[in-house]
Amino acid sequence: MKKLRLNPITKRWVILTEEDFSFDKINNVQAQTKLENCPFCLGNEAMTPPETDADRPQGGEPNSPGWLTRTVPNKFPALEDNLEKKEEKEGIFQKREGVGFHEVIIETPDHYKTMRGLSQEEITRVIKVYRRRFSFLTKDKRFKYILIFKNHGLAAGASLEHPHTQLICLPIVPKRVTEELDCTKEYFAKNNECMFCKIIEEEKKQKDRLVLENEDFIAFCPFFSRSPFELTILPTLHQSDFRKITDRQIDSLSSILKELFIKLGNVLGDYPYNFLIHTTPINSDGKNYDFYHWHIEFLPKLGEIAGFEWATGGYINPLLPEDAARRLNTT
Amino acid sequence: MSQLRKDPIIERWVIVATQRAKRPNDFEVDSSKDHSLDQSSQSLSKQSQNFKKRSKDTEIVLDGPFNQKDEFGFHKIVDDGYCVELNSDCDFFPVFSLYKKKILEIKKKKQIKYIVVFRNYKVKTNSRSLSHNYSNFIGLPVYPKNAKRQMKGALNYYQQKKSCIYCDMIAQEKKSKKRFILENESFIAFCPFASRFPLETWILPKDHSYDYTQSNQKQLKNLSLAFKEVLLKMKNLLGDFSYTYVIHTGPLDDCSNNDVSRGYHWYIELIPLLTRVAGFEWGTGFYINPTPPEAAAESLRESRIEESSQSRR
Repeated sequence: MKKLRLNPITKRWVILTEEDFSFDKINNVQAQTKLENCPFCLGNEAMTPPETDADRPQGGEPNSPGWLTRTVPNKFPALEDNLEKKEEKEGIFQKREGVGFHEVIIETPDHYKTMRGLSQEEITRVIKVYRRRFSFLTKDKRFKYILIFKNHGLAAGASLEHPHTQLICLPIVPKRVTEELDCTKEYFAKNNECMFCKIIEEEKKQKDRLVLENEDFIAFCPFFSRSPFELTILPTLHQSDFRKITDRQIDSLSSILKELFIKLGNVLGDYPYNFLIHTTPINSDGKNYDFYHWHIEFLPKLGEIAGFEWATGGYINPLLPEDAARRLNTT
Repeated sequence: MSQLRKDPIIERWVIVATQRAKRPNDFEVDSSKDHSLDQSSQSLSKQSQNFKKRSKDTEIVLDGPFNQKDEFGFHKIVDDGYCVELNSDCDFFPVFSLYKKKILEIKKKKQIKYIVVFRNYKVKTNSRSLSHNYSNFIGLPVYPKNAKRQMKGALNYYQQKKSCIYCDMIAQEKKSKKRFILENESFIAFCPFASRFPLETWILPKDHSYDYTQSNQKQLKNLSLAFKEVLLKMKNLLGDFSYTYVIHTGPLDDCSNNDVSRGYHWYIELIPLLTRVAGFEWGTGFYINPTPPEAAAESLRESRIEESSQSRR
């Protein structure tokens, strides 16, 4: 039985085809960059632009070995810092300088230690870097949105093997986020409650898409999953802005992530995936986003996005999220 | 250096690299993939010869805060004798004629609001039913987000300027030539200003028309020639490549007396698959394109195709 499901957060439809879905477990997604010339490895600090942040518990000079995490500007940035924010017209078209900032957070000195292999303590350290960079970069008033995302594996868009996360500061609030903000604002105005809180309540009640839960976080396969094994991770207490995450919450988050990576590893192996944080816009001239709820989207990359998705903005997903959750829970 | 560009129709921003940009022939095309159809997709295509209508229920079923519709749209896969091995002898006219026939058939089904016609050529997708070289027809009981945005953008523009935004775009691209690829009597091909992907190409009818099925024999003939020429130029640059194309046509309801018919313009979007959609695109809905459309169009203009195709016209 095929189903169309509406994502109330974006008002995008998903088609669930319920195929006899099978896939090959992958045990090693990548072997792209050679270890000796990896710019993210210990001792190769000179190969990157100068660092903007690092964890050096033993002290030591910036841009030298002795770090546990290291943040550097992206050598090949999608957007650049040193530009004016100006707009130009070309006939009916509109363009702007690509002002922004693009950083790489190196999660570990160990080239082969994927996020799946990190200890809970190490994941905690990485999430603290996210929070630190996020808060720091918010100070630049030119930026309206910060996106933290991770591409793991070549198929998911990672061009370097060494475990890293990317952070992009954008001069505009991107469409996908605006969609989420518009829909959740509308819902809040009508129902006087946060749509994400309502979804958490529903998922706890229905249980068939629930994967993990601890005192501060919940992880489930969303009702309107766009791809097999898509996961949403939400703080259970209402919190709009990722920057407000507490140390205790970070511990809970890394614990749930650690468990998730084990479950996913058991079912999928070392699959390529994308991981991203959706939170409120920044520097928005006093606009109130209390109706929003920050969250993590986790998308294993099992195939290419193609014609249908581009034409419609909708998705076709061959695996029911209920089945995905069951598979994850029976390992 | 990079630039932010806005698609004027759906107001989507794209990041276009202008320095360190990849030239169109910098891409490595993986031709080692096994392109043969697997058995499952062949049997699937047979069972899909008929419309798979599941339920007549048009009500939205509420499930908590969620909306769910049981499928009463359809997905049809048609073996259309597509020219799988591209060369100058390929004839795409039968394929484009078939589309007209099928869409006209579908128009009679009142519950279907929107039709998507596309092909994923040598693309590995999530869903097995889309992973082969057949034409896909998906009829939907709802307007998908992108279609809604396109119609709305075109309508807004029309109501403000009393002209079709696509026609204005064609005029501008013809004049500036920067992103122009080719044209014939009825069609024009160019790389759109806010291209999301390297070598993204739009093929549009030069005469205003919101509805694919209004194309006559001669126009479909010219469409197949323009389409073939673009593909051959791409093949010349990229070798054996995978691509996807989509026909964007107007609503299935008769719009001949309203502004949708005046503001909307059907077209084909053709996208070679050279980059991967990754975390950034998923998270933001906007795209990073490493190849400026001006460079892509220049390479395509200069890409020479074999003589035989010229002589056979």
